[in-house]
Amino acid sequence: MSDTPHASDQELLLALDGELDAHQAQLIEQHLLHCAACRARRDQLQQALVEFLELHRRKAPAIPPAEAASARLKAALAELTSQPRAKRWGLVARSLLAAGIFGALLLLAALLESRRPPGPLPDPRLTPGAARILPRQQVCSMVKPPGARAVSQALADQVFRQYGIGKPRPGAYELDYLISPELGGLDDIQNLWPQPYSEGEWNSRVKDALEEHLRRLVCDGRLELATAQREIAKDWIAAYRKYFGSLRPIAEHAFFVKDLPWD
Amino acid sequence: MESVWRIARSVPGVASTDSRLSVEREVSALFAELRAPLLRYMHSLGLSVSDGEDVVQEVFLQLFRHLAAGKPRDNLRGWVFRVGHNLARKHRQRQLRQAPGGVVELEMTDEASNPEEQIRNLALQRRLMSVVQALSERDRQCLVLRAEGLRYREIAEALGMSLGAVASSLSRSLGKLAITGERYE
Repeated sequence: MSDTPHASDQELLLALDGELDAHQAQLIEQHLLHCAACRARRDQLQQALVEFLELHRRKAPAIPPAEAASARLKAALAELTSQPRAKRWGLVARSLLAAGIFGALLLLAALLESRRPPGPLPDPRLTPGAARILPRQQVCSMVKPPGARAVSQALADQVFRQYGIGKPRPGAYELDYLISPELGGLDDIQNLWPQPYSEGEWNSRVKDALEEHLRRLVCDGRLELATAQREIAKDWIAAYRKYFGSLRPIAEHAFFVKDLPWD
Repeated sequence: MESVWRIARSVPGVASTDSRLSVEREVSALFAELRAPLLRYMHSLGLSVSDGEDVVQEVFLQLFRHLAAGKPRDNLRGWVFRVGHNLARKHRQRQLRQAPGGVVELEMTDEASNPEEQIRNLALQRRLMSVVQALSERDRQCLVLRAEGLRYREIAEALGMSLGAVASSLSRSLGKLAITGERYE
């Protein structure tokens, strides 16, 4: 902190973006408690950041699904590593393609209203969903270790920041796969978004209940995996209403615990 | 394809198949994480998405070589954006020499629910755009990289700036954006 009575824009922004060390962050925090002018300025800066994020998304081009680019990279890497291997990997890459194992979804759902904090539905421009088709046995056998955190801290930071959250409140969000890994969802940035963990009616616990239900339907052969992926990516709330036949979340699902929040 | 073989010959011997596979896996994981943000960033530098895809491929082949050679890996996100930034600029300069002009036009659309909101949003966006356009190129690049979710140390690596310079660039730009917002609300 400087010796002026107010925190500078830079100090406020560093605090907002979680770029200060613990000691400095605490000093700013304390100052903000007593300085209404600084709190107001911090809110203006946060608002400016969120408005710029929105502008940036509006100007951004649509990004084609990743599978063609990803197959191209795999093939190039295979050729690059060693020539005998190249043949084998080229074959694998081609057969994977031919079998249509890589399927990714780029869905243009209705756009979110501008400048809204992350809600129960992701921004389709940032998180259109990305998935591949899994064999049914795998959908049936897929067991995710409880509490496993597959997403690296660096990727998590990036996703939160894209959504204008510099420093997530501990326990407030689940860094959720739009299409869950159990349903073929990929570890792609286009398949991840910060979902409010238990705030609001349509929270991540309710979505977890839907994912489990869809997984069982696919496993039992009552639903095509591709359909499940498409519907959950397009509007998971609509999918919930459809598959549970309930306009509002069923009470017990609010307590359904599968994934832990990000802390 | 030619460039691929050129790289292939220059790849230093990698110790074992295991480590080569783990490098491949790491490159694929970073590709999944960074392709879309990198394409959007390069688009902001004036590159079309299809040209961007070519550049992205080159970036990740270079990343493979970088990792296979055991070079520093403490700031790979920053590294990827630095290489992407440099290659995109070279690509863009070549394009401009061949066909001058052809600036990517930024169009503003609005899908908000009602007309009043659309008008309000469009007016707000125009104000923001005019502030953003008045920023220096460097300040704009910092802002776009922040919008793509990079941490300050990653932005610093990507643009070859100090950490302090990134912080002051971002606070300067957002300070200006915040002031316009206040004046018109």
